[in-house]
Amino acid sequence: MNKYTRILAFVLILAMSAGIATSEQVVTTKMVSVDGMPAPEQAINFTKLEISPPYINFMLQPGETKELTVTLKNKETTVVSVKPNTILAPYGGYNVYPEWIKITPESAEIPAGGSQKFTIKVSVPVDASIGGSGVQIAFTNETMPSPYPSPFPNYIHVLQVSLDIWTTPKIQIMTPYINDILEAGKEYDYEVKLKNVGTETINIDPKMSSDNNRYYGGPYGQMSAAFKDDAITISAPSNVPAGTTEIVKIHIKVPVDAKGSYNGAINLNIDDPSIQVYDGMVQMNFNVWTQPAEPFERSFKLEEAAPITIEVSSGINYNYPYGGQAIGADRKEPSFETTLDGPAGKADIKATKTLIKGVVNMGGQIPPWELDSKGIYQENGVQLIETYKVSGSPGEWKLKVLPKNTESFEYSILIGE
Amino acid sequence: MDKKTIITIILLIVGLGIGLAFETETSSVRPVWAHNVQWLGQKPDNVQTIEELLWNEIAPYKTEYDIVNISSTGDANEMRISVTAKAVDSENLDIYEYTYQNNELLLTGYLLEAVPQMFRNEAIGIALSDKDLATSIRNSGEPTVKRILPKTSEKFYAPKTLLSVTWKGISALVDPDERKVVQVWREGGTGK
Repeated sequence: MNKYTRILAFVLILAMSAGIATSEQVVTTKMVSVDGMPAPEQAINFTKLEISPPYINFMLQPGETKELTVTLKNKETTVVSVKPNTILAPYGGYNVYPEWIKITPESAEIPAGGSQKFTIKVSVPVDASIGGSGVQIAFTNETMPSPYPSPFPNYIHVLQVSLDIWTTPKIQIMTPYINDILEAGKEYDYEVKLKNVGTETINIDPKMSSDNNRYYGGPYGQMSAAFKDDAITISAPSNVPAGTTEIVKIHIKVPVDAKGSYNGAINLNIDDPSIQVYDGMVQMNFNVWTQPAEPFERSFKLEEAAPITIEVSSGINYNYPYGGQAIGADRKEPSFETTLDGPAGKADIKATKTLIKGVVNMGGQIPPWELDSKGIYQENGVQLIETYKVSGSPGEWKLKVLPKNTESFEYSILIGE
Repeated sequence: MDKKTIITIILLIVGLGIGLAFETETSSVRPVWAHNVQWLGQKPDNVQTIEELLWNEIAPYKTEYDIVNISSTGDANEMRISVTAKAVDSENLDIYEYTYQNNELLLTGYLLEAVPQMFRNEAIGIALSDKDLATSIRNSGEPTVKRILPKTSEKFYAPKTLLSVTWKGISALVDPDERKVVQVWREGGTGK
């Protein structure tokens, strides 16, 4: 036997051994199928293969390629043969094709207690559609038994792969969020700027989102919104030419009887595949504030002359704004217009004491990524307390309080020292 | 002009030049984005050293600082430095706290809310693109938007500047470059 014949014989013997090993594997991994046996009892016969990690994610732009590695560990006492197969996940999206995914090695024999690394290489073609999809890589043909016919086999040794194909948006939404406190009966205008950073004109068609009706609700369950979508008028051009900025104008006419809040969205309907549905939305959050025109009134009687002390205090002003450290014109501080009518007409009352009471937070329950702000003062709310003192004569008195920038207030009337 | 006058003029010019050179050297330390820098209270002896270290540590977010107030407490062995900065286009403040020891500054805490309105709104918009979050924060009012420095961010996502958009009891950690929510925190609950 010459050298080449010896090598050929060795290869043949090796191939035969591999064939025996594979056929043995088929025997060990074959499920015991007995009619009427419940599925959970069968599960113990599955080949014990550990896939680590069991889930991988690729975020790729069209034309990009990326590799990730997973490790399969054989927890059996015999060799296990595996042959990865890419399967489109049922209902996992349809913009990914199995041919984009290359797995190396194409098959492997994993010895008892041994491990095998597989490289998953995903190459996204330049003309791929944008969006997310899920695929599965089944390393064996073993499936979960089902008592009912199933349209999709439920593979056991599966690696879940999610692919998020994205691209840089060609249009930038400069104001994707509008939050404001509105007054009933007033009108407001907002602008949403759209900048086209691409090289082609992009069509837009802003409309109230059809999801808006589902946004309504409150902390105590379902409640109607402060106003309906028809209170909002949108005017916009039909497209944004390349390299320009266009404005979507939003006009809100708050009904005079509006109360509560409005949460909704405008779908800009941007004809740019890189913009996903929720990215092309302008979210709106309005709280309708009804500033009373007439003061609150409270009558009381003095039987004899005595000093009157009145204290008026605002609710803690959390929402102007909530948190933050806003200063200057944007900060809406609570205030009161307080008058007192007595038997001799309007009393000359002036605040003898003004107390500004704050709520300062230094941490508490905060997100873990904000822990570095613990110990630094953060003013979360302000309360205004005003005290008035007058000399009271016997007779009927009437306290009138017109509050501003506060959703609640308390008062006390102290007669005597 | 006699000789004495010429020498006096030359000396004056040289003196003025030296003076200007020193002034330029001192002010050149301060970055262009810090318009007015003030030390509040008593200045420590090594103001310039501390400032030089500070300019490598602090920076505004896509804006410039109109006012930077620096104050110090403690002694030369262990000093606490507090920096409060107001940006030109935000009413909110950036607050940094450091300890200064052995010629080194150590960041002990920060609260960075000086995010220009445009980027603030953008971050809130990104946070609200998370449908679950958008439904949870109905009627929760205005959120806070805080800048999270890379040193902190790397524990939760990647070592880069992120923005934390927080309503009462719920917060979204936003990557403004990739325009996505990378983590969600709920009071007493679990994250994303």
